[in-house]
Amino acid sequence: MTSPLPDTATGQVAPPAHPARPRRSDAGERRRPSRRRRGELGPAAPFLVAKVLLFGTFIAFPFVYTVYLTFQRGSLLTGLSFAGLENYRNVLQDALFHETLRNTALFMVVVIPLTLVVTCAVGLLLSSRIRGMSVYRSLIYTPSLLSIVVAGLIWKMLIDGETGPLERFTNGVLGLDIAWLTDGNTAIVFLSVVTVWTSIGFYSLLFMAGFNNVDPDLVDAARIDGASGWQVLTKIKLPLIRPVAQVVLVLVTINAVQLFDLVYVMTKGGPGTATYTAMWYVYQNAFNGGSVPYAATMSLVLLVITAVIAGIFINRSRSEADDV
Amino acid sequence: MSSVTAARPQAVRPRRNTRRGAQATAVHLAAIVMSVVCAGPVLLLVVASLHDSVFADFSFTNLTVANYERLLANEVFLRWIVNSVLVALAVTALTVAVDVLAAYAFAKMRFAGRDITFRVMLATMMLPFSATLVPVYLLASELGMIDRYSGLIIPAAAGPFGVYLLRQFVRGVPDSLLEAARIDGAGHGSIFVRIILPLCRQPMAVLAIFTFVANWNTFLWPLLMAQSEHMMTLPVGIATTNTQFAQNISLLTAGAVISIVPMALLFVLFQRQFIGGVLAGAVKA
Repeated sequence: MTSPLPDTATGQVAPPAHPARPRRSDAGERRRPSRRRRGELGPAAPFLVAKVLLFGTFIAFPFVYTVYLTFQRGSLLTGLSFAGLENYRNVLQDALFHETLRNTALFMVVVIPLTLVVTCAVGLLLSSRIRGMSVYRSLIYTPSLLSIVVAGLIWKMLIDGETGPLERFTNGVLGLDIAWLTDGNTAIVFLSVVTVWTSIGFYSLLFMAGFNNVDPDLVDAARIDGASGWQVLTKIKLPLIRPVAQVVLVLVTINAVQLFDLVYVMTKGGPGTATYTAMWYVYQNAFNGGSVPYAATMSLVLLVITAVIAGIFINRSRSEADDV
Repeated sequence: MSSVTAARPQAVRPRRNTRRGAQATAVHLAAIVMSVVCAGPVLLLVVASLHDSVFADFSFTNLTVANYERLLANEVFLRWIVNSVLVALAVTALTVAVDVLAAYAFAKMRFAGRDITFRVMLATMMLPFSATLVPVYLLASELGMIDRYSGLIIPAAAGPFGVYLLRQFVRGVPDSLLEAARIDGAGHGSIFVRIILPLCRQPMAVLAIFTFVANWNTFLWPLLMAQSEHMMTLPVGIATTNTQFAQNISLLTAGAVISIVPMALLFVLFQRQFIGGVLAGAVKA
């Protein structure tokens, strides 16, 4: 990513070329825009200034500053000094950081396939035209209306040892003794399932729109040629919604690496450090008495990892699409 | 799965009908199962909130609204509601206003650096919040925004998504329309107010609902900004005061239900814009 600052700065501070220009000349200039290099920067400035200022201050500058921080040591109070690649070396050797990556990877291994399969199937379901579908659609969308805080509260209640209905069912009826949040791996899988639950509504709608966009003529033509319903689904519909699946894949990946809210509400990183996710560790370092440059370095390493995974997914599905 | 109809209609009429009926039943069944899985836990939350007990109680008998009465008489809780409404509304108003202005400039004006600026903004759309979190917090604290409404509101309106969404739409406004207005002596200001704004009402509504919902439910940023109890939003309050505020879980569940109500209302009233926002939001991280 290139430094966004110079361009944003030009857009923002350049003074209007002709502040009190008569209206007519705007029209004249519009007809031959290439004659003037600066174009309508003057007239555009009032429209742009607010957004450019907000974006520059709270996104572009902070991102550049994150990169700067990764090469520093110390704190803002005691003063920063150049540290070279020290932070990167430390992050890459940090056993706890490795564990957070392992935890995040386990989380993703459950969340990604589960989300894709479930939401694709539900999207297909929602795209079928039966009576009462809008009611089902609303009910299925319900979890996506909740904040993660509320979703976490609900599921904690459901697995409560005293009165939780889910715990009573698995323990009393099925005879399973599940250590929902007290065993590390189980806790991560449980967090994954809750995460999928909260996003069923959202991603299903995307798939639904994808299925609705499939040209009905194509389906009819295949039917006339004698294709079965299953063949229509696997040979026509699924290949056509591949772009939707790709978007969902990338979004799920980015959100998986960012997993934080649910950890805060349900496990606080525990038991031990078993549900320390990368984002949770960054938060602990930045705001609970760790090193700010170190937190910044971790967040940047995370960004690179996310970008690489997302890039692989995008390229993979592109080349597969070429094969078809 | 409605697409799975009989391949050869001419085969046997009655059989085709029963098959279609069986398929419709299967679709209904699957939809009912998914509805229960998704909405069931939320219903249980509502039931639990209607009991006054230490442990969550899910029985449908002896329901009471005591928790709601207690919450709505609690000054701190009322403050959280006010904060949530105020912050989400302010972020929404700021975002829509700022973004529609910028969208017009990016879509219909030509100036040096336009394309590169826009591309840079677009590139950050997938940028995870963690990549800017630490400096944004430091900046907010430097600007004295911590524990203030300004800190909760202003940084939340910085994202590029709205500009992207609205620019697409403004580009679709025919140039001939703007040209005609210009010949009649209209400047950019009056073109924006008289042509662009009225035409953009629909996508602005989509952006508004999307922004409101996202900010109503957001957690991490308000968690960092709200240091004192009276500056918290509902999600932050519910998540952080487990112990001191609600010794009894049913009080907490009532708070959670109250936090869902506005979302449910919006969803029911503006389902079209809501879904439009979801689909448009697919490009947003």
